[in-house]
Amino acid sequence: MVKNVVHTMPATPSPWKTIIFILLGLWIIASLVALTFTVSGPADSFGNVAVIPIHGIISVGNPTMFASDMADSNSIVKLLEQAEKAPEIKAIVLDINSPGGTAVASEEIANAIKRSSKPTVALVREVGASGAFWVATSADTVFASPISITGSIGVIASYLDFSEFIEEHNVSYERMVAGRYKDIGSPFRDLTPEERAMFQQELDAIHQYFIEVVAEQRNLSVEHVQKDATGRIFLGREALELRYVDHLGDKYDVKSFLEKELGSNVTFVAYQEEQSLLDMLTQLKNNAGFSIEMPKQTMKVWT
Amino acid sequence: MAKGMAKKPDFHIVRIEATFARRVLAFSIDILILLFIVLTPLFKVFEQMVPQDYTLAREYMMAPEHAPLIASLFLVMGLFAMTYFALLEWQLQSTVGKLFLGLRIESEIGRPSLWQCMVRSFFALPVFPFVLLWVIDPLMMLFWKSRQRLSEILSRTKTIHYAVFFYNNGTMEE
Repeated sequence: MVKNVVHTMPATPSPWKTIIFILLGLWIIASLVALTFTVSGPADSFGNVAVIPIHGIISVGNPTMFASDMADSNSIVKLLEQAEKAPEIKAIVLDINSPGGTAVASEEIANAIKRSSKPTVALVREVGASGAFWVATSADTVFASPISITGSIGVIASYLDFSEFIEEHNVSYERMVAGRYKDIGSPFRDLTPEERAMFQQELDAIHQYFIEVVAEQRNLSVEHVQKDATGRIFLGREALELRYVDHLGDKYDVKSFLEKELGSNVTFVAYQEEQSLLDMLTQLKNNAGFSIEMPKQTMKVWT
Repeated sequence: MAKGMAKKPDFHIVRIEATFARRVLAFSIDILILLFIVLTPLFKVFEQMVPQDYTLAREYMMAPEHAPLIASLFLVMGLFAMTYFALLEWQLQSTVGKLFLGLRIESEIGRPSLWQCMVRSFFALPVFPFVLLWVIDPLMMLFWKSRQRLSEILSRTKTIHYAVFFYNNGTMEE
């Protein structure tokens, strides 16, 4: 370690004049250099159509920490709101590649799309079925490939029944409930006929709601949608004939369509959220908590 | 000395190698000056060019038609930062942050030349290979026996702290 004992500081002229001179000089030169950069505002020259991906299973929140194949309705609604507020965005495209998801999450996204005052286009890629079909039909215009998988207007809440398995292995299910339907759908016991009927009634109600919403969104009669609402899928080509889809095509066709609609050039800009490590860790902590509710696997109603 | 007056403490000015903490603090002050004074006009350009929304900004900067312009802007900012450090260290053997912390730049071969000050400041350039100095320099400051950055070894300079030590009642205090 350098260590000298001296008795006076080395003589230096007052530094502040030099400092001010140098800082001011640099600032002036930086200002002149800044003028040489041609500036056109991002609003005008870049990205006037937001593309929001809806990829993977649609749900409220992400149930697993590293679920990159889930479409979180909270995030998508937030992105829709951001695109709605951004003055440079003139239209919104929903890039859909999803087999569906939970009913509530699908409805949340569909409602957010319907609230938008800007033109919305849903582009169905490989799959836009069930809950994703619900979302797609809420847009002003729907595009799909001729061989996209769409439809699947139905509701599912199937689950594995382990009651016989645990019985074979001498494990018993101690039923402790207050409220006789509290453990309805528990995988550790059979459904009673009464419970089955009740459960089916709820599913039918959701199914009917799904049908009515699609009919309203596509300006079709309920009867028209009802006959297709067997849960079957249909390809994009067939969906066009059935009037669930407006056009067949891909992203380039969507671009041409929007250019005609908007009367200007279209530049797509992706709107997507990325999870930080802190977000993932927060989810892990939240999902580890206990809750007083029916077993998750029985109450997951999927469209 | 008059009766009843307290004895003035003696003091010595000791020339020692600057500690890591002191250097980091001095650097932080310099960075603040760069961000809020020198580079402000260029940041304004950046704000006008790039959409403020985070999602859009990322997309914009990565688009092939915009990436060269963004890179040029960052390079120009780096050049200004390098000029700030080089000019001040050449003229005053110190920067604003170093002045506040009592630090000076000294050369092994006399007063540091402009070229030595420039070599010391290459870390400010956001291009390869200089970006490697962002990792190498702090590590060397912490673990190298002479506590010099790689840039300092190459430029044959040191950062020195002139510490004032007072002797008060027989004990030395800084």
